Amino acid sequence: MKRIDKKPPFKVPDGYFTHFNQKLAKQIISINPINGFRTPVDYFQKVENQIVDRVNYSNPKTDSFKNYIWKAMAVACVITLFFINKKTAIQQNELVEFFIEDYLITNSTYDIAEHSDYSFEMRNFIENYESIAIDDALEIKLYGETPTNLNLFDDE
Amino acid sequence: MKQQNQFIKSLLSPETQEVAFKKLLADYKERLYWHIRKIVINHEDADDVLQNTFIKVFENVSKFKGNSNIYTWMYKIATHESLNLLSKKSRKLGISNEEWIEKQADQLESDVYFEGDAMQLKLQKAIATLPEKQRLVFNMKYFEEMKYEKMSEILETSVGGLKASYHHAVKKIKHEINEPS
Repeated sequence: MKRIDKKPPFKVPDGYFTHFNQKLAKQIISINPINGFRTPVDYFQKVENQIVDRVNYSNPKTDSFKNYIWKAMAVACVITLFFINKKTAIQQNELVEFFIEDYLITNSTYDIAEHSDYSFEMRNFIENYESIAIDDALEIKLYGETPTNLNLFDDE
Repeated sequence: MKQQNQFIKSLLSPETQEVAFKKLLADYKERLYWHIRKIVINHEDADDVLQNTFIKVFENVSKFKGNSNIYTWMYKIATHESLNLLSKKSRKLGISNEEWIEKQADQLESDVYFEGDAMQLKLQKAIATLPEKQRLVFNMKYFEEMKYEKMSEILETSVGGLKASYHHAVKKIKHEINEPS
């Protein structure tokens, strides 16, 4: 019988045993023994490089002149918008006054009374019926009469 | 403190900034990582928070007043960044931070980056059921053995309050662990 070679037929990668201890040490270090959490192998070296790459040493975060310009522009925009809104509000008020005036001119007293729900303010009543004396106007208010009850244009 | 002030100066000076920042990274990255990891549980999230923490430290070192240890200041930033990440992630799903953490803890068993035994898994799940503040206090006291005075500086809570939080946390964890599964 031929003598069989007792040397094992298996092979290992080159340098396997040389680097084995280092690899194992890294694996052990990457496990936190207390709470069971672990990290990928070489994580802490890699993350250090990643963070260094992200940091811009030549351009530290400081308030540059450009930033001041942007901030000043933003403030100017806010102030401008405020005044535009104010102007718009004034224009709106003027419009409202115009429409009220036009309404009073265009509609007769009876029309106005019909449109209203009979809560006719004394001030408005007097403004629209200049020919009525104030005492009369007050009496009308006291007795709850409304413009529809009045026959102002009849000759009495 | 004098040594720290000199180190801060080297971080602010453009000539020495790079070397000083690399030293800061080398000295503190692991300690901060494990603190962050205990809060967020997941390795990928811890990686994000760790990087963001160091970027924030670099960008804001000029605002560091020097009236505390620089590590305490960085620790504070890391804690806030971790809690911000939790809020962001839980808001996306429309759940609370606590619910998000419980979900993470439930996935630990199948997590490639968790090699704890059954008892450690049970402990992590019990810690995940704690309210946010109690969880922070418990992790810092139990795992990191941090003194209450230092914890008070980081969490801006009184020592008495922290002691009470820890007491309640321990009680709740004991109850969770002893419950039959």
